[in-house]
Amino acid sequence: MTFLNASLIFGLTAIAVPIVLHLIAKREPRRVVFPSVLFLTKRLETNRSKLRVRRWWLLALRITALAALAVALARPMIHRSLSLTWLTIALIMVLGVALLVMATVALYRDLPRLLIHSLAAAAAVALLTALLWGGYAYASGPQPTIDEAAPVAIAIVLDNAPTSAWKTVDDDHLTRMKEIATWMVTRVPPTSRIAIIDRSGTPAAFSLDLASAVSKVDQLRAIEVTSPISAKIDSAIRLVRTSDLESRQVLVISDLARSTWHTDLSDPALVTLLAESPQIQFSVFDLGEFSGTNRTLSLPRLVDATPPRGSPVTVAVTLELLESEENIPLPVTAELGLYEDDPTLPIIRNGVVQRPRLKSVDRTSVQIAPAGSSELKMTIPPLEVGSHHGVVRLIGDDALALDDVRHFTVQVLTPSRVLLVADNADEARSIDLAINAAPFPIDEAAAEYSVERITYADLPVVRLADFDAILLLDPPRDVISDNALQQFAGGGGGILICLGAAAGDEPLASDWLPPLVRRWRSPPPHTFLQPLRLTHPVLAPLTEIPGGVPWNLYRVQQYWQTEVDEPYKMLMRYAGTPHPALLERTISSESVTGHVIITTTPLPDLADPNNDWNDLFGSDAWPAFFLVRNIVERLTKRGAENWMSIVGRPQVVQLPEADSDQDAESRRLQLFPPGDTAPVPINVPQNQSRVVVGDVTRSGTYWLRGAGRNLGFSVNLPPAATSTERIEPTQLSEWFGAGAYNLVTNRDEIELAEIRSANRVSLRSPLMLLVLAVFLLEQILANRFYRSRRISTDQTSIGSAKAA
Amino acid sequence: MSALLSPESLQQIKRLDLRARMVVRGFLQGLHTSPYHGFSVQFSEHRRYNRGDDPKLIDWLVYAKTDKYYVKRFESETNLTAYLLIDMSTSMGFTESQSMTKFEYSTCLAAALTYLMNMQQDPVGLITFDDHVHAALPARSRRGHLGDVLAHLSRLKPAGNTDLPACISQVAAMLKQHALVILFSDLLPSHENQGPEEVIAALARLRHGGNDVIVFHVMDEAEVSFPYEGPVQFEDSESGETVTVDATGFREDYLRQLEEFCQQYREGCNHLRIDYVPLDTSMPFDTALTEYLLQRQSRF
Repeated sequence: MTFLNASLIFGLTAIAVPIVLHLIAKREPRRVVFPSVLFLTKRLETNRSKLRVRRWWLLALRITALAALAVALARPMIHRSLSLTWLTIALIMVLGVALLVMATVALYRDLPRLLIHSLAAAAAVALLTALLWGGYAYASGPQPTIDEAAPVAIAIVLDNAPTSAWKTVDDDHLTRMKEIATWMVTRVPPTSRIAIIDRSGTPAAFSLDLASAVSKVDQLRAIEVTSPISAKIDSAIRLVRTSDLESRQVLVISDLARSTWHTDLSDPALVTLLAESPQIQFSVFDLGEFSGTNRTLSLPRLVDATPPRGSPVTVAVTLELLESEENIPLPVTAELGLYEDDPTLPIIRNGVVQRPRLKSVDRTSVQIAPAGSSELKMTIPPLEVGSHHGVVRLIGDDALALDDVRHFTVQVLTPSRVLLVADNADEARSIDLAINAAPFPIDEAAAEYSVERITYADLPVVRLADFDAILLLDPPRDVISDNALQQFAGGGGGILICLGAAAGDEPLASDWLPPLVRRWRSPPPHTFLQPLRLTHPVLAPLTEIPGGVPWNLYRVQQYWQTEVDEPYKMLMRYAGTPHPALLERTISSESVTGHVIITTTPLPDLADPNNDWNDLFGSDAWPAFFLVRNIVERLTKRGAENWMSIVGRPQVVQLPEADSDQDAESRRLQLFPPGDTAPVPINVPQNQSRVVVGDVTRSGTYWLRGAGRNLGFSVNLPPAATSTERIEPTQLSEWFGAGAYNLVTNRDEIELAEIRSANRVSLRSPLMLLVLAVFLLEQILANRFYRSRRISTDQTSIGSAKAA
Repeated sequence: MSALLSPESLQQIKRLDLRARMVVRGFLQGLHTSPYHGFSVQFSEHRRYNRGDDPKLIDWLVYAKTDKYYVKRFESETNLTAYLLIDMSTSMGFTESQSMTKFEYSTCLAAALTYLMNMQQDPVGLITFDDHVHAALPARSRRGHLGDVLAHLSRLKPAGNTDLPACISQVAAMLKQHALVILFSDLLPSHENQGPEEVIAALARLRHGGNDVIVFHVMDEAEVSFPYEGPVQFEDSESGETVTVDATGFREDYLRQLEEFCQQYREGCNHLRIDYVPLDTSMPFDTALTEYLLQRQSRF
């Protein structure tokens, strides 16, 4: 046993007061003449002994009350392992007191002396045993660690994930997190080692002093790029383990959002680590439910991120409303904004970052029910060539502001030059219509592709370098093996080769193409295309189509059997065969990359109606239509650049070509990140055409000044990061192992957990109960709660007189 | 009426005869509204002749004077000889409230009864005692006797020990004819060997002599209520014995002892058909007078 406030144990000296009053400060008796002394002397001795017993009881009760109060205020603690021992001692003491009470009752009832003495002796034995045992347990038992003045090594892990920005009128998760952390920091002794660890990438380290720890807590804000919580807890435990202080704690303050605590994210090593560190008190503070209204926007989906000039683009976002207690539909208004095209901005003016002004271009309103979702579509007006940045945002406030704004970037490109080589005019026209198809009549100025159609006879005289891509429909054998095409691809150009009947009947070996083995005629019911690399840019848009693509409806009767060798990759094959249907080769040289895509069956197959190769361009030929468009987009590298990203991922920005008259060795660029952050200077070598921005930690629009007008990109927070779904607190067992952690929801529970972890049991409550009971007994024994019996006696006397 | 008969109000009147008169008049006045309505005392020696009366009882002398028939009554039949037996021990002089001692209360009551009986032409005698009987006044019914009794009572001072059984026995031997003996005492013995049994035995002797007995057990208010708190040293007023006790803790036991003591007397007296009237000095006198009159009624 030991005491939290040991100094208060000196309060025990207060028991001297009743002792002194009892033994020394007796009142001098008043002397009165009284005729009825006869009635006093008869039972004088018995009465005196009863009175003495009663006064001793009173003295004992007063001493016990004062002593118990002093001890209770000193907050005694016993080691958990001795709980049973102390309980037994207490029971023996209670037995002793009960025997004493029985002896007293026996005395008052004039029961035989032998009985009284026996009871008193038994009581004395019991009390003596309890005292001796208690003394022995106090002297020899393990002492709980309760020294609150002793320094503590404590690591507080603050889960400042995006969901921690949850803020309603009644609740503010971030503020509460700060309050708890500050309270924890300020209550430990100043010499403690304190580590404040948040979800950022900052390495875990002890703060220099208490003030710096408090300061770090004050500066806490919700961040969008977070390190895994398991890594943070791991580093916190390892950090605290390194401390040589005896008392060590790790406290995790979190909202238990599923995005952070999903079981799949748990690290089994944590269970082992905690099991190996029993001396560390590990607690998880649950900030509680997300109560309030929250609207969420999905990532914006652009119908075409690289539209042609002057073409409107539709932006679609999905709006979701969190389930709330008020089950009434909510009107929501979304706004589409575009940053004005100002070549002088952004810039630092008077120390303040001036960004282009946001201009509202479209707006839509919906009525949305709780737990429901709605698709919002807005239109970006026709734009000029160049980068354009904008936002989709919800009007009004809700509990989580981070998911109310989404950013996008549209890159309006000039038309790509495409050389379409075909001997069959119908085939050439079909492809031309396919790649330039638009939902509105084709406008040459607004077309994505500038297509030039020639025949193979004219191919040798064409300057290939003038084109971004060459489409070879059913090329003859000599064209296929022409090395000029290989050089074109090596220079960054794109080539599509649609093999067909013109390639002849014999096998063909080429330096840069896969060997053509034979023309293969598939027996009925023939075969069809089967996609293999579903994430490939050519096939990925097709996989996103709801319901999939029914390739089996489009049969292939003939194709060229080829062998797949490196560096060719098979994107599609013919179902039921190992034979490739769609092949791609990427040719990289220096800083440019070219692609060669080969279809082993002709696209389209219109040359010879009597000799069908496939039905791909038959009726309702939308899959082949999309496939061709995707292939051409891939070859011309439209859409190859991703101008929209999510936080935490490095962004590659393709720089426009530098002016040739600049002699400097490097270009100096300025990156304007969102928020109040100052611009970051970036030096790019003159010959480098791309720059990698690694510090993408906030969602918003990033401008890159110095390389071109309006250059930049948009970054969004993934919707999953702001999901307010929580895990069940019991699921923490899967993270840390059952019983290895304390789940707390308020400060008192933290203190309780500390006491529990210190293997100590507080005797304060039972002692206060004892004080109360003893005080009441003292009052009853001293007859303070009851009126004097004199009145009743008088009444009895008079009554008897009258009766007589 | 009770206000008039209270010891506090009477204490303001110094003259015993006035006190006695006040008590009796107040009492008689109160009887008109008392439950004992219809009962009264015959004050005349003659009454008008009625049909059926024995003609031999007609007082012809009165007829000669008044020309009216009056019946002459026998004095021996109607007169009640009463003896007031007053304890004069030191303990009777005790008072806690400093208003009226037990002895004063007793003499006042005795005077009132004397006055009352004298009005009825009943002979009243006075006997005082402490450890032996002091021969006092014989029973007389003449009017001047009242003044003698009152004068004697007013001269008495409580002093010395008491030997109650012996004195009662002596009185029993003294009385030659049946009489009403009214005892005023606190019944407290001066010696431990004089318990209630001895006193009751002495009263039985008195009763067996054909006397009617009323015992007025007069106690001080403090003796009944024991109003003391804390440590108190009690000194016996007769023996001088001192006992130091914690009065608060002792009260219950004391009261139980007192109740047992009274109960012993109550039972003993009931057994002997003696009227036992416990009184304390705070009680009004009508209680005592009523007791006397009830006793008087029972004789006829």
